Parts: sequence; structure tokens; C-alpha cells
Amino acid sequence: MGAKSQKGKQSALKQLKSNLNNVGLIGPKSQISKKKKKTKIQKPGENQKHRTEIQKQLQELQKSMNPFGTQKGRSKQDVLGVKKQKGQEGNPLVSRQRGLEKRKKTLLVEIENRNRTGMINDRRFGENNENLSVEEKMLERFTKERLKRSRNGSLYNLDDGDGDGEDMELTHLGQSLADIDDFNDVDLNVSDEEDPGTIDRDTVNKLHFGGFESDEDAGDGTEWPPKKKSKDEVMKEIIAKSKMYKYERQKAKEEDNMVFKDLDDNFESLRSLLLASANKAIDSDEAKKELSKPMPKAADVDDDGENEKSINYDRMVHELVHDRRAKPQDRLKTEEELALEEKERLEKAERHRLRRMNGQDSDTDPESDEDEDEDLPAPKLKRAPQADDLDGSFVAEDMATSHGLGKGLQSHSDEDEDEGDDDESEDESESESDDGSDLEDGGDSEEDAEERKSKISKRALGKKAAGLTDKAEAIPYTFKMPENYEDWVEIVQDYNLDQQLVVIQRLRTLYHPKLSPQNKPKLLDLFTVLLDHLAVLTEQDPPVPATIIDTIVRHIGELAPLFPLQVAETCRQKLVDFQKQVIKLSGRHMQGDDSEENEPFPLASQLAHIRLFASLFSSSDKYHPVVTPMVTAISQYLSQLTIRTYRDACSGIILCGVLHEVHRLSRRFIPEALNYLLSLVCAIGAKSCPSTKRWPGYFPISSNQATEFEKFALDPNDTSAKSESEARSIRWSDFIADEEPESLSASQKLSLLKASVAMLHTWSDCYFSVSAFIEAFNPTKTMLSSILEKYKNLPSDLHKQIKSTLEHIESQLASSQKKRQPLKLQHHKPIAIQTVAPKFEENYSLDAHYDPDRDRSELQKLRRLHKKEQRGAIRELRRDAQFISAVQLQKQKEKDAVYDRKMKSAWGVLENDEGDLKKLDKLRELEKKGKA
Amino acid sequence: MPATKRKLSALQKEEVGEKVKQIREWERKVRDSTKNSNDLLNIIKEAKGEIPDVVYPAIHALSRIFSKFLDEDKMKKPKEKRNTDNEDSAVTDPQAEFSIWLRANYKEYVGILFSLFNHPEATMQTAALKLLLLLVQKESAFQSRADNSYNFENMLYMQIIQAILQSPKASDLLLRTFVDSYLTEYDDLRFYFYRSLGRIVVSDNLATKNKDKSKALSKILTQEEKDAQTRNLYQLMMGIRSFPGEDFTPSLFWVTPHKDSNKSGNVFQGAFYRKSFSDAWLVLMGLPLSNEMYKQILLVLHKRILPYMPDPTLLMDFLTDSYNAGGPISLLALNGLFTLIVDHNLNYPEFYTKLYALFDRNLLHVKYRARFFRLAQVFLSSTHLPAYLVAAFIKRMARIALSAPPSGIAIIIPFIYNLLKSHPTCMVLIHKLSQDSPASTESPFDLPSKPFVDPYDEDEKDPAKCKAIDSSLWEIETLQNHYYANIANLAKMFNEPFRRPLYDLEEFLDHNYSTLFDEDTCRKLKKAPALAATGPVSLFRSGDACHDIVEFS
Repeated sequence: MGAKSQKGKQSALKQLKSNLNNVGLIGPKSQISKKKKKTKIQKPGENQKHRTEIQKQLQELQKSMNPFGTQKGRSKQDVLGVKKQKGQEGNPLVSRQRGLEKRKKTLLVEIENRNRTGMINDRRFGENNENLSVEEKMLERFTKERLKRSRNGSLYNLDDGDGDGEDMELTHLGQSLADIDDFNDVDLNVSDEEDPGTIDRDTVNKLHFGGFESDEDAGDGTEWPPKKKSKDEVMKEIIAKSKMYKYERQKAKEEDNMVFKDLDDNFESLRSLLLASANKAIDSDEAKKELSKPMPKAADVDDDGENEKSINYDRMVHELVHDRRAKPQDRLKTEEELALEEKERLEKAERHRLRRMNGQDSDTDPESDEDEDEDLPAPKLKRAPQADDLDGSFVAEDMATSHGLGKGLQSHSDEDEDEGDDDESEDESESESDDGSDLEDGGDSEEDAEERKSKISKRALGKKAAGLTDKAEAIPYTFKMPENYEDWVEIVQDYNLDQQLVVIQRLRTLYHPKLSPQNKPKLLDLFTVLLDHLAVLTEQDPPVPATIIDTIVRHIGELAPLFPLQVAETCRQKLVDFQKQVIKLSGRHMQGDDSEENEPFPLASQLAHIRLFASLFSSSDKYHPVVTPMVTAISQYLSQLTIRTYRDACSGIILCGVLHEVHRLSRRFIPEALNYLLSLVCAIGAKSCPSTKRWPGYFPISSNQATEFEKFALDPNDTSAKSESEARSIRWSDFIADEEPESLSASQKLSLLKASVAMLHTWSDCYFSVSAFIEAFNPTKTMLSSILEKYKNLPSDLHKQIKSTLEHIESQLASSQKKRQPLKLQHHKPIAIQTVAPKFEENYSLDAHYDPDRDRSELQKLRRLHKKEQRGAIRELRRDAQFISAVQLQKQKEKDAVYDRKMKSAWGVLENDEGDLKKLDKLRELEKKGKA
Repeated sequence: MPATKRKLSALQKEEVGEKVKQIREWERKVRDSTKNSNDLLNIIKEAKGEIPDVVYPAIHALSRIFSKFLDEDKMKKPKEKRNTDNEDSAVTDPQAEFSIWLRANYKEYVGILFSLFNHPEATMQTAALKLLLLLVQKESAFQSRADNSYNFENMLYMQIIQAILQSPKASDLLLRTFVDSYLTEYDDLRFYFYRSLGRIVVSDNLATKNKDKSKALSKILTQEEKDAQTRNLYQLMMGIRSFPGEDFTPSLFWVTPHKDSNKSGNVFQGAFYRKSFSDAWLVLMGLPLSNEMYKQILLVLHKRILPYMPDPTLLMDFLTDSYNAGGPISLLALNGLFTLIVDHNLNYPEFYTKLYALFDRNLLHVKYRARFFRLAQVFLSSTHLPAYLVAAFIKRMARIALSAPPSGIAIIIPFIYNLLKSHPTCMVLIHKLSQDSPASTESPFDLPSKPFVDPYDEDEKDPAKCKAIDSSLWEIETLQNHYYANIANLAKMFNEPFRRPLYDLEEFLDHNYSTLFDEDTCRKLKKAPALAATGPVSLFRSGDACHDIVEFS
């Protein structure tokens, strides 16, 4: 700053001087040495370059020195927050000049080319490059030309350039003169500073007396002087060298062979180990044969390219590459460890279940991550190993050893391949048939009929499959996996139920997912078949023993984790069908339409399926893709269908039980179940209440339902009830009977009462802690007590049961009454009053835009940009016009000047002529005078 | 028709064909010259026959013949003639005689057509209707030509209406044709329909009262006929889709009015039209309606009836009765009542008490709940309602929500939220400081001092006396654990500060089980759903609720 100000005080002349000095244009440095001068004379291009450089420097200097160049706008006052504005300071001269030059390059060219159609594009190298001098340009062009030629493929053109003679090389001693000609290459050491009298030896050697030999040919440099070898010597050397190489090659090869041999020997022993452990699946005989075969030798391959051997070898290598690496087996776990693991697994599962119950996302699904290695689920560990244990891999080995190449296995393996091929197509066809059945379900009555027919046929099939035959045939060990229910029936129609279980177990063993990747879809088929089979078995009259059904359920439960997604889809489809039926029936009930034949709904099989789904899935989840719709559908059933028959009521109670099972852990509140049970109790004990409208509770009673309920009412004076020693339970066979009497017998009423009271008991346990327990169960209490009061001659055990339930509920009511406190749901931190402190912006600037509305600010920005660009464009156009007019003026002036000159010269000629003429005239006159 | 056609044997078919040909022949003859008029009797005879295939062409032929005569004024036998008759009875004008004869036959023909309304086949009924209405047109034209003024043959028209209404066999097709192609289309037909309705039905009522004075029109109806009348009238009235607005001008006429006679036609006065419209509805409402009809009328009342009545307060009795009927009918009556209260200054005593009574056990289960809650929202939206009243409604709603389907709860919860938000004094329902130690209420850990007895009386009819304001909404707290996750989440809003804007109730009104179910099942499964940690071992677990109840044997 100081220096600058000092500079500012100097006079302009002094400043110029010092600046010129700095640049080096004047002063002592500007004296160029003689040598330089000389070289400059030699190279005119360089000289010119130098000159332009100086010119440039001078121009810059001029610019920096010119005080009138820059213009400054002085702001009258400082505005707080406004940054320095653009365009405050500038150099209009410079910018104008710049613009002018630019226009000269673009606009002027365009103007000049205005009326021209063709033009020559000068693409000579470096023509437009200003940094190159003429000589450099020429040089570059020359090299380019050469390169082009050499690249042009005239490689074998010996008389290259012979025609024009330009490229004929002149040589001296085999050296191109062009190389030598350059004096710079040869160290002439001509300098002014050195003593010109002495020339060193080197120089003399090189340049004097037959010198001018380049350095390369002078040998290794160290040998001095180099001895030239004779031709004989050279040849000998070459022969020796080639011999040596050959010998070395041979030696290396021998070594290689040795290594190969070693490798082969070692591998033979290693291979037997590998084969024994890895290829368990391969039949042992075959393996032995394989082993006994001579191992293709690596060495053989190398020696002679016999085709077969090399192929063998390749195959072997491939096999080995793709072979699974042998892994060390896990140590067998001790019993404690197993127990501990199981405990941890269960704990983990419970943790996840709780998370899901609370509606949080359980990131790792305990089931799915274990499924990864296609393991059967752990529950098998819970039981002691039994005869029908399903541990697949073990049994498989067993069978392979005990039966060897039994006919079953053989045939199975054949089929297996076939099935593997068309597996996908089978899947597709099956899914198609699935879709078909969906449509039928959604269709109208005609399709219904079809559906019914198919159901009937299925039932008929089921009859066959239900193991009613007593033939106890020997069960083969292998089966083809049934793809649909018909196949299944085909397989099992000759076996009784227990044998069917064995069949299932064997199927699962044969198609264990570990054995082949194609087994998984087949097991999915088995899963659906089992679901159907379960449906069929639960429909049987007389009912199938519970143990059989339970075993099938267990099979289903164990198969499900293999493919949870597909299982869920299947189950959901069943639920959709169920719900569709509910809708259809509720519509019919609403219209009071009795005309249509009353197809029993839900079927026992549907109940069984629903019950199964409740325990198959993690039912306590807050949201579950299968269980949630299931609960919705059941609720819809419970609340929208009219209860007409004993069977309806029984199904309702069972479904209430399913709901309880679903929510027994999460204890979610289901109004529909309570409504249903209470309404049933009320209906049966209706005689203890004055009218339907006065029934306790808030469950809805439609007019249809009220009339239907009339036949449920138990007559308090009915003595037939007393006669029975105890109320019977609901029997599964109640769901199977096709026809049903319209009216209910007293024993049926009693059994309904018993079941619903028992169910209410369990529900009251479930909702014990609910805050509205009193509201929910007070009506039940009222109803039960009035029933006890009015119905004196109930069977004794039922009486006892009702009494105990009533007492239970009463005690729970009392305790929840004790606990009851007014709600305090709004126990929050008081909400802060909204602050009104202004928002403070750090480094606020007026120029910056603080629009909170992003879109608006973007728009504003664009608008500003547009305006700016518009202004710029207008200015440019204006300048262009000015420029064009200036150019035109200039041209006009030139034209005028030319014309002027022309005219002047013409005038001059004329004037001269005139002068001459006049002179002549004068002369003539003088002559005349003289004569005269 | 095809049913009977099929029954006909080939022989009969031939016969029928011949008869039809014969009828055509007769018709041609009659129309050609009056000399062949006796063939008319033949046609009438055929028209009285049993076979529809013959009757159908016969009546049409007759219609064409009589229309022609009417157009040609051949049947002119009105007063002037009679006057002349009185003056000189001896003179027997053949023209007059012919016209008398024609008129007698004409009457017979009309009688045949009326009897066809009880024909079992719908097409015959509609054919009769069409022909009769055509005759109305022709006769009116004839009359107005005679009187040189606007004339609507109301007598015949009234008879037609009466016949339709009181025909127990009137088919749907007949009624639909009457409504769609005549009543809705033609303004004058509609107007005279409305007008004569009062006379037909009222005279009928009168007739039942004083049987002696029964006129020709009003015969004593059997119970069956009465039912048919109610049913048919209901169907006709519900079918008419054209309403007399404020700026009503009739545009389409069945009987084209005379050019000069603008004043005489009552049709052209909107006020008169509306009056008869409202009278007609009142007539229908006065009839003993079935429950379904009641509901349907109430459903359309506020949109299709009330706005067009000149004096809607006339509906007051009807609506009040309906409102007191209870059940879904009350819910539906609320809509009309609302209009009366708001627009027509109806002062309804104990309105809120009755509204309170509507919140009964079935409310959340019925179809019309969305409609009801739309109105309930309006009734309860006033911020000037006393806190005890709003609290009573809130408590009641919570109570019925405890046994409601998810779709019902989904309405109740936002509703209560909105009420609580607009009536902050009711916040005690969900947040109450204990009475004995108000100082210590700040800490949530104070020990429950005394069991709190719910003072709410659910059987109390009067919202003022039910003490709901002293109660708490434990029901809502329970619903926070509802099985349907969305409901549970919705109910949890009460635990959070009341900072969200009022809910738009419309979004919650239209759910039902099926929508919820579909919503859950239509979603494609992406992630494998969680299976039970331990798979099922048996169908009914030993601790299962069903285990002890169901015997598997």
C-alpha cells in the first residue's frame, strides 16, 4: 500500500520510466549481447516473436499507466447490509476494445461473407494459431506431412518420393546429411568467450579427418578404442549362444516333469480322501469305479496331445474346481448346549413377538433367518426322538444303506429327473387352476353350483382318502410327490389313517429340501395337499380321531416355515373365500331371504383351517397380513350373520374361541366376540328378561335376529332339562351333519349355554386388566345372575358352572372397581406458548434473498436472470448495429477515397495533357510569331 | 305373451291369425264408411275375448277407429244437441242417433280398457294405458274444439289413475311406463295426476267414513285393493323425477293447450302446481306405509320433496311422528327435521333429549349411520351447547362404541375428538384431577386414594341428569387396545396433546368390514409374514378356550 501511494505521488514520466525499466525494455539489460544479436539475425522468426512480445508488454504498460481507462462510480453513502455492487468500477475502454475485437472476428467476417455462397476454409496447420512463428509453422507442417506419409501404408514403397525427388536423402558415410547438417548437434563449441585457438582432442577426433561418426557406433564407450570383430568370431559366438539356450530349455522341462510327477503321486492319495468325504451322494460302487480308474496324469497331457486324455483331465479339473470345499464338521453339541441354544432361540422369538405385538418392526425375523440354511424348524428338538421322527437326512441315509438300490429309490430317481425338468410348468398349471377356483368362488349361483359339485367330488375323494379301508397293505418306501389332491387320493386310498401318516412322513423324508433344490416346491404342493386333507378329515362323520388330525396339523406346522410367503398367500386365499361367503350370506340374511337352500356355513373344515391359521402364524402381532384379515372376517361373521340354528351358534362360539386364541397374548379388545357370546346367553336365558329391548348390554339386535332368537329361549319350566344329568359339550360332529332341525332341543340349548358361559369365563380372564372391564362385563353379570335366579332346574353341573363364572366375574368386577380411577390421559408437559421472538439472520445482506417460499424464490431468481439476459441481449444488438454502421462507413470512406484518388489521377492526366497542349499552343504561337 | 303363445296349438294359431285378419278387415270397412259401422260391434266382441293375441289388435283397431271419429267430431253429442232434443224430441236426427250409438260403444270400449288393467300380462296393461291416455288426448282436443277453450279430460284421466292405483295386479312395467314415458315427460299429465290424487284417495277415505254418501268414484275398497293402492301410489310418486322448482314453467304437454286460453289452465301457475305436488305427497304420507316405504320416503324427503313444497311445515307432523318412532326411521327423519328447524323455524321441544335417545345399541350397526352422524355433527357443533350436554353425548357414544364394529368406532373416535376440542370444558372426561388432593395431582405417582365410582347413569333418558360430565371415558382407553390396529392408533390420539386440527368426519364415514378386509388382503405380500415361534402341535391346544368346550368325537 505504501509503495503504491509513493508511486502515485511520482510524476507520470518518472513512473513510465521506472516501469519500462522494470519490464526490461530500457536500461542496462536491454543491451543484447553480440552473440544474441548474431543469432537473431540468423533467425528472423525469433526476432519477430521478440518484437511482438515487446509490443505486448508495452501495451500492458500503457493500459496500467492510463489513468483515464478506469471509471469509478462513487456511492454517495454507505448502505448497511449492501455488499459492493457490481459495475461500480470498470474499464470501459478496455471492454469496448474487447467487444470490438470480438466483433471483428465474428460479425465482421460474417458481414464480409454476406453475399458469398462458397468459401475456403483454411485448415492448414497452425494457420490460426498466433503463437507460432512462420518458421515453426512450416516445420510443423513438414513433420505432419511426413508422418502422414509414413502412416499412409507406403511402407514397402521403396522408391518413396522418388517421383518428386524431394525426399531423396543425401548421405555421407551412410548418414543422412539432414542429421549432420544441424550444427547444433555437433558440438562445435564455438563461443566468443573461449579461446578460439585451442581445440580439444575430442573435437578433433569427431570432426576432423573422417570424423562425423555418430556416438552410437562407437561401441560401449568404455572400450577405447573399440576392436572390430571378424565375421568368423561373430558366427562362433552366435552358435555358442544358441546351444546354451537349448540346453537351458531342456533342463527346465525336466524339472517341470519332475514336479508334475510328484504332484500326480500326491494327488492320487489326496483324491481318494476327497472323494470319500465329498461325494456322499454318489453311489459307493460308482465311486470306487471312479477311484480305480487311472487318474489322468497331468504329465501325460503335456507330453502328447491325445484328445481323450486331455478331455478327461479337463473334466477332472472342472470337477475339482466346482467341488465344494471340504469343511471341518461342527463338533457335536452336548445336551446342555442344545438346551441353551433352544432357550435362546425361544427367548429371541419371544422378544420379536413382543415387538411385533406392540406394532414395532422386528427387523430380523427369527424364523426367516433360520430358514436360510433350509433347516427344519427347531420344534422337533422339543420332543424326544420317536419312531416317526422326521429328521430327514438321517432316515435317508438309513434307507440308502438298508435297502441299497431298492426298486423304489431307483424308480424315484428316474422320475425325479423328469419332474425336475417340467417342474416349472407344473407350478404354472397349478397356479392357473388355483385362479380358476377363485373365480368360481366369486361368481354367481351357477358357478356356485359347480363349486358345490367340485366340493362334493372332493368330499367323495376324501371319503376314499379318509382311511375307511381296513386293508393294511404294506406301504412302499417311496412315492411320487402328489401335485394335487387327486394324486394324493390316488396314493393313499388303500391305506388307513395311521398308514397315511406314515406316507406323509415318508414323503417328507424323500423330498427333504436338503436333498435337492427342487424339493422345496414339491413340499409346497404337499403343504396344500395336507391342508386339503385336513379339511377332508375334519369333515368326516364320525369324526376322525384327534390324534390323527393333530399329527397332520403338526406336519403342516413344520412344513410352513419352509415357504412362509406362499403359505401366507394360500391361507389368505382361503380367508378371502370365507369372507366372500360371509358377505353373500349376510346380504341374504339382511333381506330375510329364506328361499335359497341353506348351505351350512361355515363348514367344519373352514373352522379347522381358521383355527389352524391362528396357531400357524404369529397371531399376537399388531398387524399381520394373514391374521388381521382373518380377525376382521371372523368379526364380520360374528356381527353380521343372523344366528339361526344350533350349528350357527356353535360355529360362532368356536370362532370366538379362535379369536381368544389369537389375542390371548396381546389381549386386544374384540367387541364382536363379547357381543356374540352375551347375545347368545341372553337369547337362551331370554325368559329371565322382560323383553328383547331390555336385554343388558349394548350389543346390537336386529329385528331378524330377534325373531330368530325366540326359538333359542330356554323355557325355565322345562323339566326335560332337569332330567339330563349334565349339559353336553359341543361335538365336532355337530358341524358335520348336513341337515338340521329348525328348532333346538333343550339339551342343545343347554350345551350352547354351557359353552358360551365357559367362553365368557375365558374372555373375562383375558380382559381382566382392561380399564372398561366394568362396562364390558357388567351386562354379563346381570344376565348370569338373572338366569340363575329364574332357571331353577338347570342341570346341576351347569348350574355350578354358571355360578362359579358369575362369582369369578363378580370378583373381577369388584377388584377392577377398586382399581378404578378417573382417566388422566392428558398428563403432558404443559404446551409452551408460541414464541414471537424474531428470527435472527446471521450476516444478513440486503442483496441476498430470504424468501422462505422456495418455489417463489426460484421463480424470482429465474425472472431476474431473464431480465438480465434480455438487457444484455439488447445491448449487444445495439453495439452490433453500431459496429456494422461503423464498418459500413469505413468502407464507404475507403470507396470514396479510391474514387477520389482515381478522379485525381484522371484529373492529373487531363491537366497534364491540357498543360502539354497549352505548352504546344504557346510554342506554336511563338513559332508563328517567330515566323512572322 | 310368449308364454301363452307357446301354449297355443297350431290350430289355434291359425284361428288367431284369421281373426286378426278379420279384425283388420272390419276396421278398414268401418273407417271407410259409416255404413259398415256395425262391424264395430264385432271388433268390440273380439276385444272382450280371452286370447291376448286377438284382444291386442282389436283394442288397437278400436282406438284408431274412435280416434278418427273423435277427430272428425262424429261423436259430438254434448249439450246443444240435448237442448235440441228437449225442444223437439220427435225429430230423430240420424246423425245424432249414430253419435249416441257411437258413444255407447265408446263407453263400452273404455270399460274394456279399464278391465285390462287387471289383466295378468304386463304388456296388455301398458297397452291399455297407452290407448287410454291417447283417448284422453283425443277427447280433450275434441272438447276444446267444442268449447273453444283449454280443456283437459280430467274425468277420464282420473278414472285411469284410480284404475291403475287400485289394481292389485298392476305390474311394475305398467307403473314404470306410466311414470317414465308419461308422468315425468308431460307436465300437464303430472299436474293433473297430483291434483286428482287428493280426490281419489281422500274420497276413498271419506267413503270409508260415511258409506252412504259413496260416490261413483269411491267404491269401498277391499284390504287388498288398499294395499295395492298404497304400493302403487308409492311406486309412482317415488318414480317421478321431475320436480316443480321455483321458476317452473311447463314445457311439454300431452294435451296441447289452445292458443288463446293461457289463463284458464292451472298448469301454467307454478304455485298451484307446487301446492298440488305437496298435497299429493301428503296424501301418500297419510296412507299406512310399510317400514321399507317409510324409510325410502324419508331417505328422499329432504332432497326431492321438502325443497319443492310451498309450505314445508306441513310435513311437521309426519316428521315428528317418524322421529318418535325410534330406530332407523328416527335417524332418517332427522334429516328432514333438520331442514325444518334450520330453514323454517321449527321449534322442537326436547330435541336433544330425543337425539340422545337415538344413540342406542343398534345405531353403530345400521346402514344409515353415516347419514345420521353427518347431521349429528351439525347438531352438536354449536359451541353454545352446555358442557353437561356435550359430555352426555360423548359418554354415550363411547359407551356404544365399546360394542361397535370397527367401522362404527372409526366414526365415533374422531367425532369425540372434535367435540372435545371444540368443548374444552369436557376435557375432564379424559383428564380428571382427583377430587380430594388437587395439589398432588401433578405427580403421576400418587397412590390411588379412593376407588372411583362411575356416576354415569346409562339408563337415564335425560342427558342433563345422566351425570356424564363427572365420569371418565374408560371405554376409549380400552379401545386403544382394539384388535384393528388403525382403530387402536386412532384412539391413542387422546393421549397426545390436542393440537391437531379438527378431523374431517367424511373420511371416516364410509368404512365397513368388507372395505377393511379388502384393504388388508389386496395388498401384495412382500415380506414373509411372521410365523408362530413354535408351530402348532395340535389343532386345539390344551389350554385353548375351545379345548374344553368341543369334543372331538
